Amino acid sequence: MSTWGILVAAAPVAAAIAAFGMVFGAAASALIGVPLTVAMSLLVFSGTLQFAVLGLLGAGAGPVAIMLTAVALNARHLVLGAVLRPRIDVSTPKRAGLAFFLIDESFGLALAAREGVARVLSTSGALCYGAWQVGTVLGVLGARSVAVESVATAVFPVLFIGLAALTARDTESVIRTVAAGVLVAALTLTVPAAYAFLPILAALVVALPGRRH
Amino acid sequence: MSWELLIGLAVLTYVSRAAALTFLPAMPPPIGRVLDRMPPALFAGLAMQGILSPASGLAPLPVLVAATAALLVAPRRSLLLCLIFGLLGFGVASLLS
Repeated sequence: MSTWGILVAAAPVAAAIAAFGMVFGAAASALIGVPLTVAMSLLVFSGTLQFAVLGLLGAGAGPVAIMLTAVALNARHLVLGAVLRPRIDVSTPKRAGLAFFLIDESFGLALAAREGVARVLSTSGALCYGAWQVGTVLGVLGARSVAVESVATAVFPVLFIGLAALTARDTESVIRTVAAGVLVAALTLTVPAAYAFLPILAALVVALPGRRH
Repeated sequence: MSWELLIGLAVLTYVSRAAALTFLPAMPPPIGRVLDRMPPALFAGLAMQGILSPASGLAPLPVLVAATAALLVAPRRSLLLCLIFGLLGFGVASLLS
């Protein structure tokens, strides 16, 4: 896939990420101030985690609870990295650089690519990174609208449904995917305390059974 | 929120991204097969968390319609189509509700 092709494929995702960033920038700057808001987007670059941190801070949670939540949410990166590892044939320093751009969206696009996985990961990841920073700054500067916030709540599940569709390769995979969704719903209602761990837990449970080859 | 906590979050997040991609050895085939099956299930779980949460319960109707619209085109395996149909569903449901 050409660089232009990667950018075209990643552009709608980046637009959605920019909208998220705007909502984050507006909400976070009111809660933790502008410098920390901008620095968090620059250094952490994880919408899921950054919104979770805002929610925890708003609820009065301490550093330990925030770090534990970060461990739970970031656990999925271990899976994403391990899945991509055999598909990326570059040196260790380059892998270390690529790792910064390993987010859910760039992973989905890279996994779906038949060739040039490292380039898809870096190009789409860099585009999403830029979009996240632009969105955050716009939000900090006051570009806040109820419409964008409203749409952002819908984009979150829609984006992940799209990523699930993109990475589910066959019927067996689709069955596991649906099972994981149902399992997370059931556990959310019955074990709400484990909420942050549920996606990774459910994914592991549905991935375990299966044929060896 | 302190700068120390922010740096801690940044380091933890980067290490989680780099650990398997960069530093850990390649997984044995049986573990690799299990890991290969996990991503779509993981994304489905995250999607479900956008629809249902312990704090706010079920998402508002427009969000549910958006998710349903995205699910309808999910068999096409296109992220762009899911986004377009999801947002269309959200827009229509918002206008009607």
